[in-house]
Amino acid sequence: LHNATLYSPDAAETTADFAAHCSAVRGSYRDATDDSWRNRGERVTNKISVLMPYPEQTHTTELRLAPRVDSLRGCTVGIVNNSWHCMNLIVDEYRRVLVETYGVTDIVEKRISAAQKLPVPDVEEMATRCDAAIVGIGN
Amino acid sequence: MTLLTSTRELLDDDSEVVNQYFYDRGLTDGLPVIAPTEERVLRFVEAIEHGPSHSFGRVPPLNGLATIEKIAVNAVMAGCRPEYFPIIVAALEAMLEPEFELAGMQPTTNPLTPMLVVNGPIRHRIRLNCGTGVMGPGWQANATIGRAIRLILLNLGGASPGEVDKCTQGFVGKYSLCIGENEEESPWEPFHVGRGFSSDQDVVTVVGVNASTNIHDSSASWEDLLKTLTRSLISPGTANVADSYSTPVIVLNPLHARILADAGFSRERLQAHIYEHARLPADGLSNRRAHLRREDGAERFLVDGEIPFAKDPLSILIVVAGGMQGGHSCYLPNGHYGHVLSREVGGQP
Repeated sequence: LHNATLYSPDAAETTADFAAHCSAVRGSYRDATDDSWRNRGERVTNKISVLMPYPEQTHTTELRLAPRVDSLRGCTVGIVNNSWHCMNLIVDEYRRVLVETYGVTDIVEKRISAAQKLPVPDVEEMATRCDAAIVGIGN
Repeated sequence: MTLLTSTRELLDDDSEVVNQYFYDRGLTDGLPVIAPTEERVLRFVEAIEHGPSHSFGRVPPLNGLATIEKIAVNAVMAGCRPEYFPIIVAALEAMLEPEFELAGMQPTTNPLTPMLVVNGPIRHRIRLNCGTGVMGPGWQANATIGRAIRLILLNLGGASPGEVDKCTQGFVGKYSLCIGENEEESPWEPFHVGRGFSSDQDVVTVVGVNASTNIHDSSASWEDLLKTLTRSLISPGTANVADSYSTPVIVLNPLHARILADAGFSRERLQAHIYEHARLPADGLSNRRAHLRREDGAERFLVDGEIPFAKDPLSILIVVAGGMQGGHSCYLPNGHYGHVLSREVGGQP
C-alpha cells in the first residue's frame, strides 16, 4: 500500500468515511485486468516459480496389462462380485449379455464382502481358469 | 542446479493469483494455500533425513509416488511449518501400509477420513494442541498437519471430491483432523505406550474415522458417566455397528478419565466395560444392515444375541484429550476395514 491511509475505526465513524477509506485502499492495488501499470513505472508485480503438488507420473502408466483377448466367443470370463446391492443386480445382466451377445461359454463368479479383497487363492484360480475378468464394484 | 524435479509454473507473486491458479486446477481443498516455492519446499526437505526423491510408496487410487519432495510441496501449501514435517511423513508412511486400506477409504461414500493422534515430546516442541478445543480451530500445528494429509490424498492419490471421492456428504474432519493426547492430564499411561512404544518416543497413530459425536455429562459420579458413555456409543446407523471389523475411537476429556480412573478403571478395564455394556439388540438393525453384517461374516461377533460396539475390547481405542472443564467427551465411529497403525516420528522406515 503506497499511498493508502491506515484505516482507524475511530477516525471513520460514518459510512462515507468508511467508503472513502475502502476506495483509497482499493486504489493502491493493481487491478488484475489492468496492465497499464507496466508503462507507468509503478510497482511491478514480481513473478514466482511454484512447484506442482501432483505426480508427474502415475503407476497406471507403468502397469503391465494382461494380454487382451480378440474376441470373447468361446471364452471363460471371471466376475468378482463385491456383494453391494447394485452389483448383485448388475451381475445377472452381465451374465446374460456375455453369453447371449458375446458368445461366452462359461462364467466363474467369486463373491467378496463389501470392501474386502479377493483372497489370493481365488485370484490365482481366476488367472488359471479365465480368459478375461470383470472386477465389479456396484455401490 | 536444483535437487527438486517437480513441474514448475511461473505465476504473478500475488496471493490471489496463486490461490486462484491452484484452485482452478483442483489442487486445493478450497481454502487458500501458501505458494510452494523451491526455497520453502527445500526447508521442509531439510527437516528430515531422507533426500527429496526418497519415496514411501504410492498413494491410491491415482498411485502418485509419495516422494519427500511431493509430500513437502503439499505440506507447504497446507500452511505447515518445517518442524511439523516429520509427523506428516510418518503418518503417510503408516497410511500407505496395505493394512490401512487407503484404497478403500479414498473413494468410499462413507464420511471417512484419517485421524492423526500424536504422542510424545514433539507435541510441545511444535505447540500441538492437546487440551481445550483440541478438535477445534486456532492451532497452526493441528490445523495444517491434518490439512497436509488431505492435500496429499487429493493431489497424489487423486481423491477429487465428487469424482473419485464419492463421499455422500462428507464432514468437516475431511479438511483436517489431527490431535495430540493430553498426556500430562491423563490418569493413564500415554496412548502410544499401550501400543508398544516408550513414553519418550514421538509417535503418530492413524485411524480412519467418521464425524465425532459429543457425549456430555458433567456428573462427578463414575456410575453416571459410564451410563451416559455406554448408552451414547451404540446406535444402529453408526458405521461400526454394521462393520464389526472397525476400531472406533473414544476421546475422553481428562476430567472424565480421572473420575473413572479414581474409581479403579484402567484403560483396559474401561475397554472391557464398554465391550460388555455398549450393545445393540440384533433385531435393532434394518434388514439391509443386518444383511451387510451377515455378508461380512460379522455374525460371529454377536454376544448373547447382541451386537457389541466393536469385535473385541482391544479394538475400542481410548484417547485422552481436551480440557478439564465442561464434561464433554466424544467418540468417532469407524466404518473402515483398515487397521489402526502407529509409527515413530523420525524413525527408520
